[in-house]
Amino acid sequence: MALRLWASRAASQLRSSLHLRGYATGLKQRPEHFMVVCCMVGFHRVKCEGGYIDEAHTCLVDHIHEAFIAYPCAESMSSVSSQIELTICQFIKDLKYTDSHEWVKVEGNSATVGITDHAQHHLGDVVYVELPEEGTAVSQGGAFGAVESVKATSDVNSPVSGTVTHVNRELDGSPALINSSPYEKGWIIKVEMSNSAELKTLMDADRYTKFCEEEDAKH
Amino acid sequence: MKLTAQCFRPPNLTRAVLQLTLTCLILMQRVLKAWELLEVKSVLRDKIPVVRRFSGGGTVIVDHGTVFVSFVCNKDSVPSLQPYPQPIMAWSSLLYDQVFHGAGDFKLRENDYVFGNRKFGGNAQSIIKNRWIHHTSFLWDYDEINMAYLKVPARAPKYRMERNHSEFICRVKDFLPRSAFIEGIIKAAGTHFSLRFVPWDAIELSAAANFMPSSRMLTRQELKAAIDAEPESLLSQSM
Repeated sequence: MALRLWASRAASQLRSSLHLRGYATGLKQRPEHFMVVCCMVGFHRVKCEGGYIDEAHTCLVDHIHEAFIAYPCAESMSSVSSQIELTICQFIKDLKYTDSHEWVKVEGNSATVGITDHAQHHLGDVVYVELPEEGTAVSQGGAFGAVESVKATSDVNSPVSGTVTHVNRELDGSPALINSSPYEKGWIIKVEMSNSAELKTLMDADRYTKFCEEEDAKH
Repeated sequence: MKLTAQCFRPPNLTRAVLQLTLTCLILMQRVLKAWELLEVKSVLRDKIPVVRRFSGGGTVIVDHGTVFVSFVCNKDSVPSLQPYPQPIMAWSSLLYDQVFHGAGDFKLRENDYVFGNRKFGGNAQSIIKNRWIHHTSFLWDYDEINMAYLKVPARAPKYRMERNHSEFICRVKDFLPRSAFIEGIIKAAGTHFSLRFVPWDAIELSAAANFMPSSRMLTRQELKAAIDAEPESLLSQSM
């Protein structure tokens, strides 16, 4: 009983923290709508494969609402997507992004770098990651390594200039971490920045979300 | 492989490269354990060169019967094409449908070109910021004996259904004449691009270019180390 009461209160708090923006992309050519679900951690861009979503799509809202009660953020999205046919890409609010789909998290003068959920979704299952050595110099926009999926390799570019201080060696044995946890366990390198002013040229989460939508809409 | 890689890195030009392979060699994907992919003892015994490839894709053995076709493109060379693996693969399948339409039950199946459920073409891609390459190795013909150098990979397409090499692959030459095959590819490429033919001997593989290919040949020491790394249980099975 107490658990049910807690769940009910949590549910109403979570419902109020969720808001939905709907984007219609090319109604004639593509009937899918994208929705952006904002939660406490960031954005989730949701595309319904099975039909139409509009802002009053209560079924979707209820699914997400129920999922957030039971699970932490990332797992809730997996739960929702297993119930309805959804493609969900996650965008984290506090990160910066490049137009080649890398993210960077800055802590002091240290930058942690990886590829975005959007990128890993398009690449497919990652089977190998080519990593640089610690001490390697990187420059903004320059390739420092590569990610290999089943049939393709793709360069990974550094969002900032500096020196590589740490490399995620977990990716040697578990390259699929990039798919399952692109923003956390799937980080690729850490860089000691040489020019923090470069961060101003990067996109925030809102701008990067729109960038991805514009890119998808062009094709 | 070296020519294709060199065409890839310098910017701006869209190139299609059609190559006929003369020697037998293995192109291996970039993973850490060669013993998972190759019968390494046989490869060493018979001195088959092994090249770790720069592009994605699986491990293949190529010989005089293999035809490579590579498209080296700028990001915007094909209008409305997103430079990601699946859209590029889908685009290439439409191009090759023009070549093989009517020759057999041609389709793109997972990431392979097949007639029915037998593979005759494997694909690999490399994507950088403003360029992409898509190449296909076509089994115009092949020597059955050479397939014995390859193990059935742990990660195989579902439609393979654990078939061995001889039941899984087929020869293009059994489906259409060579002239139709080569001319068909050229004609199909011409529907997407303006073509200019460059003879092989006119292409300069400049050693002075500031280019370091990431494809490289594995040394005998590396292959011997792969044997040492192979678990004993598997070694005894292969003997």
